[in-house]
Amino acid sequence: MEMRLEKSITVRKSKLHKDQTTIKLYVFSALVVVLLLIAVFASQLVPYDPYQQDLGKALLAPDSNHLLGTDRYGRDLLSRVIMGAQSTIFSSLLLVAIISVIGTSIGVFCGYKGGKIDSIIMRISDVFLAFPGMVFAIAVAGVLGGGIMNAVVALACISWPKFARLARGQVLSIKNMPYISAAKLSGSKPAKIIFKHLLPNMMGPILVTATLDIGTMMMELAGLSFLGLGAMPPIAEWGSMMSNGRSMLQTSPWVILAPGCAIFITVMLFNLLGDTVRDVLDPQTKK
Amino acid sequence: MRKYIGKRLIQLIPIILGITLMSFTLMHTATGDAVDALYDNSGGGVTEQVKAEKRAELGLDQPFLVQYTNWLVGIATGDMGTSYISNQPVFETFVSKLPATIYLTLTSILATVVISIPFGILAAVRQNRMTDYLIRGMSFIGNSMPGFFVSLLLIYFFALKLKLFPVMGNDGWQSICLPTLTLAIAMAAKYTRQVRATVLEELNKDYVMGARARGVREMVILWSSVLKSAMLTIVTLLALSIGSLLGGTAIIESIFMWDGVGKLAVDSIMARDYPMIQAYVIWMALIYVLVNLLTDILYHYLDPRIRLEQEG
Amino acid sequence: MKKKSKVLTILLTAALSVGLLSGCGSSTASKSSDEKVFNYGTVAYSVSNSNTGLNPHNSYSGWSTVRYGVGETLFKFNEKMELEPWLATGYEQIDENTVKINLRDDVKFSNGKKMTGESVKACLEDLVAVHDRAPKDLQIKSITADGQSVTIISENKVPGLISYLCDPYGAIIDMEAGVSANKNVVGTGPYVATAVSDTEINLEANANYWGSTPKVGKVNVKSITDGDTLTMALQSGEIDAAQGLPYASLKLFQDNKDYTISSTNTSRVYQACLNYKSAVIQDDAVRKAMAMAMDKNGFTSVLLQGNGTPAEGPFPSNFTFGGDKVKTADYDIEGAKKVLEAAGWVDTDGDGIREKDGQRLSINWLTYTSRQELPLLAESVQASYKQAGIEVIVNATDSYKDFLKAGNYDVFANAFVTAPTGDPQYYFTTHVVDGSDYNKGSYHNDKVETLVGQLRNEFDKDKRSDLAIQIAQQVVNDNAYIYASYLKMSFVMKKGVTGFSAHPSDYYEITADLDMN
Repeated sequence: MEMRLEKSITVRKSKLHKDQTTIKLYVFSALVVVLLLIAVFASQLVPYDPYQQDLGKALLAPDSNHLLGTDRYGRDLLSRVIMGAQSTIFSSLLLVAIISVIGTSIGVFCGYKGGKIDSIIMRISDVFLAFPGMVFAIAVAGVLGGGIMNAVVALACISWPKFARLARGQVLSIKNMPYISAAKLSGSKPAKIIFKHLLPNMMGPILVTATLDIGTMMMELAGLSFLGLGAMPPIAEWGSMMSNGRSMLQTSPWVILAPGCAIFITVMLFNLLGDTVRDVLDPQTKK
Repeated sequence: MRKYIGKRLIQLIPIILGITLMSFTLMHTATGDAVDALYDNSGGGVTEQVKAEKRAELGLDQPFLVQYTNWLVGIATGDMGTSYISNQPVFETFVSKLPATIYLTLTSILATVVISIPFGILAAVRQNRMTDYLIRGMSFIGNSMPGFFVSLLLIYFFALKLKLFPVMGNDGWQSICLPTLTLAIAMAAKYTRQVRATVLEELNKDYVMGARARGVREMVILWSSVLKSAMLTIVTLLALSIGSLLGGTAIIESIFMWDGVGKLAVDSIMARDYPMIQAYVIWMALIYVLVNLLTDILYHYLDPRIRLEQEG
Repeated sequence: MKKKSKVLTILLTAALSVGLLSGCGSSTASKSSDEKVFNYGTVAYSVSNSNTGLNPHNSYSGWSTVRYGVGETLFKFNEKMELEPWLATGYEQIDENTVKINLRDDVKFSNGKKMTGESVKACLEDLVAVHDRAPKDLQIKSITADGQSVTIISENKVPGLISYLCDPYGAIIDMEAGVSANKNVVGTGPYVATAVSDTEINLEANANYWGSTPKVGKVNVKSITDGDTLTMALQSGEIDAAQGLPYASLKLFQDNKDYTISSTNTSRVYQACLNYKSAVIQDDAVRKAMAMAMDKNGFTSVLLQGNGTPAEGPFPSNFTFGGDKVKTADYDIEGAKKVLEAAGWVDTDGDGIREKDGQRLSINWLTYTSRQELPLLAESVQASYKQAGIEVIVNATDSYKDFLKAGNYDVFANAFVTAPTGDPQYYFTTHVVDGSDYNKGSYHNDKVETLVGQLRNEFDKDKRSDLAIQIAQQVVNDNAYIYASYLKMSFVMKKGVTGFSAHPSDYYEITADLDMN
């Protein structure tokens, strides 16, 4: 009796939760879309030329003319932050797209196929995984030279195995489920099993990881910028803006806080979205 | 089990070969000419003949694979060459700085575990309540700031304003607190969320529902069933995090003047000291692979499904 | 059930707090000692600067030997960069190739042994046998010792010999004691190193010091290569003085009654070396426009926040042959535009960048980041050149040597100490003559070759100055090098630290005068 009551509360709660989740999904998606729009139309939105130096106006504190102040070259920080949305968000998105698609494909293939080819590819992925990201990126930058695209390439090289392993793990844990075996027994082709049964049931964690990875990658790129291996000056990119302004934390804090908050908000938004996507895809609420 | 470990150890050989080959190739490409680099760093002004002799002495005039093999034999005997900059043996320099990094890595993992597991479970259990929102909010914040920024803020507040810890240094337990915190904040923020997600997932599984229906106490469900299953994911994540941690220490060590291999690597990169970078890459990779192996064994032990799969 | 989860919450919270508390606590170690301990943080001491260890005969380590008061040279520079005797009492130029140096009679090495002609001879012989730069500078044929004097015979005429001996590689160490495994040496300076590593040097006062007794018992030199860490270490009091603070941080200590700043102009110049192997750079008009479009004043006053002096030629004004003795064009964007236009560089496609014969006026600016000023210069130039219609693509990388070798760049901007010995010849023989080590841009001018030839053989100081001015003027007229600014070096120290000041040579830091009140 008591149990039943409790159960009904849970059901009601989860219904409420579902509604909330849907609202959150819409809100966060909308915010991300706004962010993307800002990035796309950055050059139309900027109040000043983000690259125009005016040494006479260097390090002005935020006021009505320059809402976020100016940097040490006298460039308008608001304009640079808006412009920076483009390079920062797009490079992170590109990076995550590359690694999630490639990684998942490889992971599914390995997990499904199994056997020798699986262990060979997994060993290769081990080799890549074995390199500390920063070090590998540094080595690549040494070969290709610095620059944001090279940083993306370097990070992609070492990040795909994470998705491969995740996908493979997922495949391993569901491939012997009764419904898959049933599909196999009924003579479904591997492609059909993968696309119809495996992928839909494993997309959740991958999608969540990918969304959450956008933020992580954004910060890895910022870390590379810190070492001078990311975006090259004068490109407005949040990571390099932060590392260039870091010595002004105590004297002109807005120089580092403006791009810092931009990264912070963006990463947070993508994380919130990822979290919500996870909630939406949660099998329990889906039922 | 023993058979499985043996098998995995044998599988290690190609990985190690792969790692060494890849780092050798990378550095080989990056360096251009090692002898030029060597003399550039010592001031230049050396004739081509001297350089040619040096190349022969170092075996650099031989085909790529021969060079690789020689180099591999060198590594096996603990000879990784001499630094271009300091002229000290690379291997010894590296080994002398390794303990500091391992120390920092271990304290960071410990701090991460201590923070993320209780917080994660707490958030999962109190899903969609104030505690959950608070914990998630904090993890979002910790997860959304680049490490170097966090470290600057930590130094500013804890060392400068509150004067709790020294800004830098290698002495005493006080000086490890800030670098540890910096590394742990980012990781804990990430893993708290992961732990929460994993525990939630388990909590929503049928067996938990079943157990609840049978009237098993919530605490028992949590500690015996849920945590054990969730451990699988958590252990994997922690193992994976060692990789990013080992790489991540580089920046943090440089900021806090922590005299470990990460700082050594950054300094060597700035000075283009290729033998040193190479040693760092390989050693970090090897350490990581070994940790990975241990994880797999643990994984194997924890999840009977995978055990059957792999032994079958 | 609700109750149970509450219990759980409490349990977990408890576990958490215990974990956090045990993880990190708080306490600050306070050292009580009657002795004065001076903690000094510097960005300059590091493996990448090739100056770790104290062996003066290795690379740039001599700078550390002299800077941190372990070793001393035979002669030294005063504030005006004039020669003064140090371990020597004076010298006699016997003939063009022979110099006799008389030594002080009261100097002891820190191990108590007396410094004699023999010990100086042994040290210098080892120097030219193992060091990379010294043999070329000194060109020593033979050294003879006689009591408290040494006589040096050189292969060729070396007018700058005495100046070269002031280079930190000339620090006199006891060769019988040799160099220890951790790169420590026995010198004659006010301090003795008790521990030497790549990141720290611990020093103690030298009981056998021949000069005035050091006032501070212990000095710890710490390598702090991160500018922000250095700033905050000084603010938190972990160090008593700092060298190499970021310009943005200096503001925190200026007009602050708790700190004193000692600044001086040095001969470290920020220069752009133009690459004559590049077709665009070969165009005289382009080089001229580039020289005119560099905003040196803006760079020093705004970006370096006043901690630098705009440069004309390679040498700053504290040299007789430096400062505005060399004349350059003023900063003039409009003038630069006219120069380019007259040479046929016009913006035909309206993108703001000029073209000529289908060639875009785009230059590749190679530089590195280990000197904080260089990326600033690059970005400043990028903006001002753009106004003149020149596009600048910056490549700021610490693998610049690879790019220099590959040769695919137009400008290489670097920092260089132009007169480490107080004499102009070194800069010219390394930068402007054919095939010299740093003449990366393959600059050649017959007149410069002749003048440098004369300089090599001239002993008269005034005539040397004249020649130096002529050569520098020619280099500037050709716009082969564009000189942006000279470094103003600053030491920031806590109030009460005295006898610690920045020296224009950048050689002398820790001396017996150092004191803390």
